[in-house]
Amino acid sequence: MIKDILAELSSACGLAHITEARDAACGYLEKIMEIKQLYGNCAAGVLKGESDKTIMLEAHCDEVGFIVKCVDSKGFIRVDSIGRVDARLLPSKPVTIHAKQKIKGVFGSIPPHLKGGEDKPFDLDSLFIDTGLGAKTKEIVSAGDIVTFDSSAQAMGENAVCGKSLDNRAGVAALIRTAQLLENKSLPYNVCFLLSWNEEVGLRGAKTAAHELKPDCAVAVDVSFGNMPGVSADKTRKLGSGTMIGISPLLSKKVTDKLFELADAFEIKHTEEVMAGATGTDADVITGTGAGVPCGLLSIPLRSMHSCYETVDVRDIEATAQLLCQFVLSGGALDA
Amino acid sequence: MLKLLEQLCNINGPSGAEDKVREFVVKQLEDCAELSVTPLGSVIAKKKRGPKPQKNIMLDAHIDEVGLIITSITEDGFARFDCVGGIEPAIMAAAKVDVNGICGVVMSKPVHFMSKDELSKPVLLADLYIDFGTQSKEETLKLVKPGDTGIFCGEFARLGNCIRAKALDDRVGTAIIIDMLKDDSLPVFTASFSVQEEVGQGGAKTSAFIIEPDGAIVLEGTTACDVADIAEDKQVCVLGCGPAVSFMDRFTLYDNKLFDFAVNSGLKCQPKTAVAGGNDSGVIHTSGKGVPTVSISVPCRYIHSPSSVCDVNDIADTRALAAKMLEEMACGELLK
Repeated sequence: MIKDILAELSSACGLAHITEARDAACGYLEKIMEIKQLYGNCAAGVLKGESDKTIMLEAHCDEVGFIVKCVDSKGFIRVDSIGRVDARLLPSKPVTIHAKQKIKGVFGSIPPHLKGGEDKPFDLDSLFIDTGLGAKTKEIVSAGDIVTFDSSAQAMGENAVCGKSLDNRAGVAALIRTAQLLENKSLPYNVCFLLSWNEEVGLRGAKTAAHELKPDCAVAVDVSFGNMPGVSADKTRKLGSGTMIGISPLLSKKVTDKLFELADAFEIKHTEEVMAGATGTDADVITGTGAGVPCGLLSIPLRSMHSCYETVDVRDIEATAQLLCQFVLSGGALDA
Repeated sequence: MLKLLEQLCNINGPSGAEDKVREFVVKQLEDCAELSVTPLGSVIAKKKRGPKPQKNIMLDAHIDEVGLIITSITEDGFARFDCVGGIEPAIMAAAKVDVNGICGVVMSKPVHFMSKDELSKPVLLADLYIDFGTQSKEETLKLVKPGDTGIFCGEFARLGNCIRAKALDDRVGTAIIIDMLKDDSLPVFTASFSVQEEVGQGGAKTSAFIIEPDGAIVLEGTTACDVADIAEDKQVCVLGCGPAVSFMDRFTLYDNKLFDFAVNSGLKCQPKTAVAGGNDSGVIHTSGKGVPTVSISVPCRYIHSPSSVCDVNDIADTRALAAKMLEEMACGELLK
C-alpha cells in the first residue's frame, strides 16, 4: 500500500510551478479531508478535533531539478540546478522538460578526450540536454522552463523502493499514511496536514504556509541520510532502522521528548539524529513562525540523496506514520 | 522495425549472458532461416528464401551489451562491481541496474557530504557500490553473488525523430539483420548474431570460422559526437546524415573497394571521420584466409550509456545501404 503510494508520488513531478506530485498527494488526502491551496504551490487540509488548537504535520512536496537558461541554435539546452545536485552524476541521465509540451530528453555527455581530459569532471557549464528535436527545440523550450529527472520508481528486495524525488515523497507518503490512520478517529486537537514547496531552494514554502495556518505545535517530516560506504556511520542511519527523531537546540525539547516517549511506549522502531543547530529542514522555519511554534522533526533514512535514484525502506515510512499518529492522538505537546 | 528494436533494447544481455537476446532472436527467425547456436552462444542464421548468391556473404551484429559484473559484497550488503566493456564511471554513477532480474541502484554519496575538492575530481569506479535495498551481506547474497553480471536500465523512449534507449549498440544492427532475413527479395546470406563483442569479439571470431564467408558486412552502432560545442572535425559522424562507413578503426583497415563503393553508392551515408573504436570487423576480416569486410554503423550519441540516442531515418538508411552492399557483394563483382 505505502509502496504503491510512494511509487506514484515518486514518478510524478513537483517543482516550482509543476504540481503533478502535489496533486497526486492531494488526491489521497481529499478522500479524508477538504484540501485548500495556499500561496505558491502549498496545499493543506485539516482533520477537526475537539479543541481549537492545531497540530501541524508538514512535508515538502518539491524535488531537486533544473531550470532552462537557454537553448542554443542546434537545440541543445543549458540549465542550472534547482537545489543542490552533483553534476558529475548527470551524464546520460534521462529528464523530462516541462515546456510548452512535456518532452523527454537526456543529459548529453561527451567522451573524456573531448571534454578536456580524464581528470576533468562533468559540470553544469559543460553539460547540456539533448531533446532529439534539433533546432526545433527552440520552438518548444524556453528560458525558465522546468526540468526534472525522468525515472520511474521500482520496488527493491522485500521492503525498499528506488526512484527519483523520494526526498521528500517518502515524507509525503508518511503524511498520507498518517491521515489514513487518523480517519474517523476522535482527535483532541485539530490536525493540519501541510504539503509545502520551495524547500530545496531555501525552506521558503513552509514559512509562508505556517504563517497562514498558525499551528500551535508542529512536526516536520523529511528524509535524512541512509547508511552508505564512504560516509561515517554516525552521520547516517541504516535503512529499515525506523524513523529518525531529530534532536537539536532549534527544535522544541517538549515535542522531541514526547516523540521519544511515545516511540518507546508503543514500541515503534526509531533512532535519534542529533544536530547542533539548523536541521536543514522546514522545521527550521516553522519554529520561527509568528510568535513561534514548538516544532519537532521526524526523518526517514534515504540513500543516494538528490540523485535520480534514491532508495528508502517503506517500513521506516510506516514507523514514521505510526509515531505521528500516536503523537496526534496523545495531544501532541499541547496537553497540560 | 522500430517495435522490433524496442523489444530488443528492452532485453538484458550483458556480454557472457546473452541468453535472453539469443532466445528472442531465434524465435523471430524460426520461419525464415536455418538456425544453429555456436558453442559460445552466437546464433547463426542462414536465410532460407531469396535469390541464390554467387558468394557467401556474412552479416554480423553483436547481441551483447555493455554492463557490469559483481566482484564482492561488503558486510553492510553493498555490492562492489567492475564494468563489462567500456563504460565511464560517471555514466555508471547513480544508474539503476538489473542483475538477473534484481533491481539495484549505483549509490552516490550525497552532495551534502562532498568537499569542494571531491567535487572537482571525476567519479571513480572505486567509489561506486550497488545498493540492492538490503541491510547485510547475508541478505544481499540471497539476491546476487560475485560473478553475476547485469546491465544499467534505460527506458526506451521516442525523442522527436530520435530514439533514446540502452543497448542501441548493437540491438540496432540486430534488428536490421532480422528484418533483412525476413525480406525474400534480398539474396541468401548467413547472419551471425554474435556474443561477447564488448569483451573481445570472441563470438564473431568463431562465427566467421564456421561460416567461412567470402565477404562480410558488419552492422553496428557507433559514436556520434555532433553535440553542443564540439567542433565539426571532432564529431566522428552526425545524426540524420545516414550510416557511418568506416575506413579504419583500432582493429581494422577496411577493404578499400567496399568502402569506396559504399560512399559512392548514391545512398545516404557518411564516412566515419575518426580512427577510433573497433568492432567485430577486426576478427572477421582476419579470419580464415582473410575476408573483405565493410562496417556500416548507425550514428549513436551517448553510446555505452542508459540513454543512447539515434535517428530513426538513419536506421532505415543503414538498412538500405546494407541491402545494396549485400546485393553487390553477393553477385561477386566487388569481391574480385
